[in-house]
Amino acid sequence: MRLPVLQNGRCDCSPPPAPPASPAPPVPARRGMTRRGFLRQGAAAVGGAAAVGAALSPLGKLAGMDHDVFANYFQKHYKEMTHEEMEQALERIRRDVERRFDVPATVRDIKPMDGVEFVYALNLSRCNGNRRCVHACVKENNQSRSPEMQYIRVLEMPMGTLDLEQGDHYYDRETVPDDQHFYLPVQCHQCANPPCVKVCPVEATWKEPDGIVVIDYDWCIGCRYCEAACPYWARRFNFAEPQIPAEELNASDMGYLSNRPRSRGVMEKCTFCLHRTRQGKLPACLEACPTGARKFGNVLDPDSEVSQILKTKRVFVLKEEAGTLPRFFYYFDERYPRQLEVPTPGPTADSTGRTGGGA
Amino acid sequence: MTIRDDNLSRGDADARIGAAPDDGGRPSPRGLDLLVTSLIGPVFLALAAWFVLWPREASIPHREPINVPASSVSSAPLRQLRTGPPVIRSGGYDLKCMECHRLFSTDGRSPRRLMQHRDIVLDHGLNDRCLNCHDSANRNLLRIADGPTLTFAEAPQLCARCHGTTYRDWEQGMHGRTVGSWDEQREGRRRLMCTECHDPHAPAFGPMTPLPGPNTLRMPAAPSHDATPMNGKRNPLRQWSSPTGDRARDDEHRKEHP
Repeated sequence: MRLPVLQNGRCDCSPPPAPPASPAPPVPARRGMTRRGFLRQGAAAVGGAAAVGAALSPLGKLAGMDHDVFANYFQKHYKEMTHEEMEQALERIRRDVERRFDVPATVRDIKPMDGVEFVYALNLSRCNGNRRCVHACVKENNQSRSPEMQYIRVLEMPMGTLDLEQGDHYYDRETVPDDQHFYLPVQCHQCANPPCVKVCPVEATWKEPDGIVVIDYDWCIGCRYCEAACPYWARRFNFAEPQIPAEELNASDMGYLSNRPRSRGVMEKCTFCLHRTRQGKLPACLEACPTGARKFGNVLDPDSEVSQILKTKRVFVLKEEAGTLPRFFYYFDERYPRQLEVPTPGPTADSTGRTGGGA
Repeated sequence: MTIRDDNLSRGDADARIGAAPDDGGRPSPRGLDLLVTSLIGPVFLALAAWFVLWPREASIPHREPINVPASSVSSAPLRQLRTGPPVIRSGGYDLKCMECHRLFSTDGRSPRRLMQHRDIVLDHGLNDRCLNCHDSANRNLLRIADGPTLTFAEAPQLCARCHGTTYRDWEQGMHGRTVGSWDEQREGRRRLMCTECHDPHAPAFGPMTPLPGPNTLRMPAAPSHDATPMNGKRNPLRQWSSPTGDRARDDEHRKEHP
């Protein structure tokens, strides 16, 4: 097949391909090996072998480290593991924690509960931006301290808007709340229609029956598609080996799908503390919240706190138009807290002021 | 021209190899072998050099992690639950309110200058009389103004007299803190009482000191040296992204262009 256009294009930028200018010397007909040929091929072979050996030498380090490394390579996908294989995987994780942190660990694979779907609700009238949740989460979920990782972002939002672009999560005040702002914590919304799950090329992340979107850290290839797909900036990537002081490690309660230590090159995110919540406990961020802004529970139970909130409060989700169906709801009380009360704009108040937007 | 010319992205070596069959067998298959053999060596040597000489870990700067004391993220209630009147230990006796107050009577009407309890800051809005809540006759109890006396453990009913919507929300779990479990059936689940978070004498939630914010993108060396101090803390993201490097001026800017 001839492609004249391409051919022309090529002719424009370079001289027409000359007949090969004999890149290799004429090789004598096959009649035994010449001395020169022998030396050349022999040298190439020796050099090549040495290079292969040198190139593969990092594998030697791997092998010397632990035979668990190889077992991990051949570990199956979470959903395909039998009970025994999962037990072996958990045992490997225990050994890994022991080796990395020199701490004995309790690692479990906790399954979802029947008849439970988790929902989170957050009262924006109460949240005062103190970031206790952020750091309780870091401690509970063994997030890397250096480089630093935090699942929860508390956005400081100007009054009168829900435009996330105007939020600032680097706010650095002496005291909070600031009376010109409200505070909007954002973490994984555990969407019922999660875009992050759809884009994963290896199915390393999926939605569990209780609504929690989880990641198999051993299956993740670190492509970060999910991070790009998430409209809430909820996923975090381990660019470097996570570093956690051993004495701060939460080794007493580790879940395979949640807070076991991760390694470099995998994604992680909030899992609603599934190792806690699937045993009836409350998420760490909720327990640490001194204002009671956070509410968590089973939405299938009509009497649960979150059901009451969904029924009686005017809840909303972030970026509803994205169609992600989050399980994380926000609401305001009927009344602003006293310090956030915005005066009703009088007839003389200018219409462009923030007062008008916030009232 | 060969068929491979339509794929300009191929490497040179590949193109040469591909060109070979069309060009009358030059270089001959045997020469090709030699060529490949002699290329493998340098390629693998380069790979070896890469693996051996290149730093194993990407050069991501490690910073001293923030030290957040465990006490600051404790799940304990802010205040102690008061199920009875305060008890003062004095001279081996446990003294409750009435040990003193049975000696002093009050008409319960006229505001008086406090001689005792001056450590109590009463900042409860319009509710600025002790006996609005405390029972005049029995100081060990509380009293609803037109109704029955209440023990300290029943205080939420007293609060409900004014804070009706909040009490309603609290009863249904929409206001206040729940500890223990999300599951109603579980042991240890409890909804904190009003006074476990609010000081009844000054119930408004005061300002708090926020814990440090995210630091993920802070790099060791800020490009502009003079812009570093900012309330003693650093915020390079803002320094990098803002033309002025000055937080106050940025805030001004945001106020003008919200």
